[in-house]
Amino acid sequence: MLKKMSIRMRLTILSVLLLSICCVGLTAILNISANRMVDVIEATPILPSMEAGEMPLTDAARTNPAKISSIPSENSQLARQNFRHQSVLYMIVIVMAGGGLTYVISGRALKPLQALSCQIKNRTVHNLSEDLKMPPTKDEIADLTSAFNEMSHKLDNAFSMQKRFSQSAAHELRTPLAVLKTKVDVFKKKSSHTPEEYDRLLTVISTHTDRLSNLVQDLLDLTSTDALVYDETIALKHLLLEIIEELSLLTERNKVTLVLHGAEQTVLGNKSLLRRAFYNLIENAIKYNQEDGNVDITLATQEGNTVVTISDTGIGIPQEMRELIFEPFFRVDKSRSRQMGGAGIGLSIVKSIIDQHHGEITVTKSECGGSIFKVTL
Amino acid sequence: MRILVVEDEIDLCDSTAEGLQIDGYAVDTCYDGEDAFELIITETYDLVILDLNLPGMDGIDILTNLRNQNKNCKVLILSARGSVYDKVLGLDTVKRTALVTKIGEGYFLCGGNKTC
Repeated sequence: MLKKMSIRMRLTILSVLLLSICCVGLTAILNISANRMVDVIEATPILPSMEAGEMPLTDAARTNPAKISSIPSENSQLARQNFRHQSVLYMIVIVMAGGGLTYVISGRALKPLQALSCQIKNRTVHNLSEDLKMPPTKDEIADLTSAFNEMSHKLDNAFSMQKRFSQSAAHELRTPLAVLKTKVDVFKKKSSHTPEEYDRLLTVISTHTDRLSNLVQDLLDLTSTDALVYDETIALKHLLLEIIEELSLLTERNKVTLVLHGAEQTVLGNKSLLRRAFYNLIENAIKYNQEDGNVDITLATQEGNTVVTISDTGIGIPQEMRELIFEPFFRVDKSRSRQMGGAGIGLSIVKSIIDQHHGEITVTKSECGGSIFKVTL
Repeated sequence: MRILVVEDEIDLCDSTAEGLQIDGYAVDTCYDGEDAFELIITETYDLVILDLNLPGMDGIDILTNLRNQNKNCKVLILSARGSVYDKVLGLDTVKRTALVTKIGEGYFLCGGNKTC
């Protein structure tokens, strides 16, 4: 039953109980000692008073003073009873006053908690990023408020990430479909078409269905939980050289210089996944680069781990987006223009692959404004 | 009637323009936000079909800047974003915008002269 009551009631009841025990004890002790004291007082021998000039008491009188009988007189009994009743009455009054005060004071002390509870109830998904006001006291309530604010921020970030994902995914999936539908609808408006128009229609259909199917495949790869083999021995420099060879056309077209430094290193992993990851990274370095720019790839060892660093002289990534770029569908380009970029899945696939290899990938800014991607395996 | 279609997805922009041309409108296309803004200011269009996610200047900025320049122009917004309507209302440009429709529905425009 105690559990169903509010903290305030519980506090009050407990303190009333405690107070009662103390007061009852105190009152009882008080009564007992008072009684004893009165007994002692009443047992004190009464000597007859002497008037000036009288003869001093005889020896007999001195040794046998008239003693009061040990049974207290009626007056004394009444007085004791009165004392008892009064002390019990005052005790009850004090206990009740104490209980009442506890109730009032605990109410005041718990008020900030109530206020906090109210504020928390007013939180919705939309105001998660706002902090609750910190109370001026540095007590447990302040602690609770601060913990709540932290949790609130974490939730807000999680929601934002979900929102970004679904908005971007929707855009990436809907756009090719819209293009296809529009193209076909417009085509149907005319009753006759030239062969060139047929060709154009087929090209657009082909391009955009490819785009959609690549996107779907990428998404599936990203979320696939197939058991893959991770114990192939891979000669990393050899792999990187193969990738560079594959990308040579793009490198030429973008007028970028690609250089690979470092000695051969072997790692254990899944060759085709790592190929994909490094392909994405190097392709990005070329795509987002400037004309006559450079891409430097370095193979090294650090504390027993293999480190591949890909640095470019490209457009770079703003500081606040460096954590976000590995999210699926995230693109630095808000307009999601397809002229330079893709669907935004590439880096999230890279991160997923590196994670599966128990490695690490970080991005920093290079001195000339480009990006440096560092992969540790 | 002169129409400007602003959309960064080239194939979509061109198809939409083509469809409108078949219906007899004079259509210009533009794939970039800043270029679009220049065009709207310097030329006279009866209708601008505007995508919001544009490189350069984004759709909402274009609308704001047009309003600041007191350019009176009918605008039809293309957007895949559901929450766009609130943003547009918040801009107080709603008097100048007509309709918010979803790009997923493909080719949407009523033929003829029923503009917004």
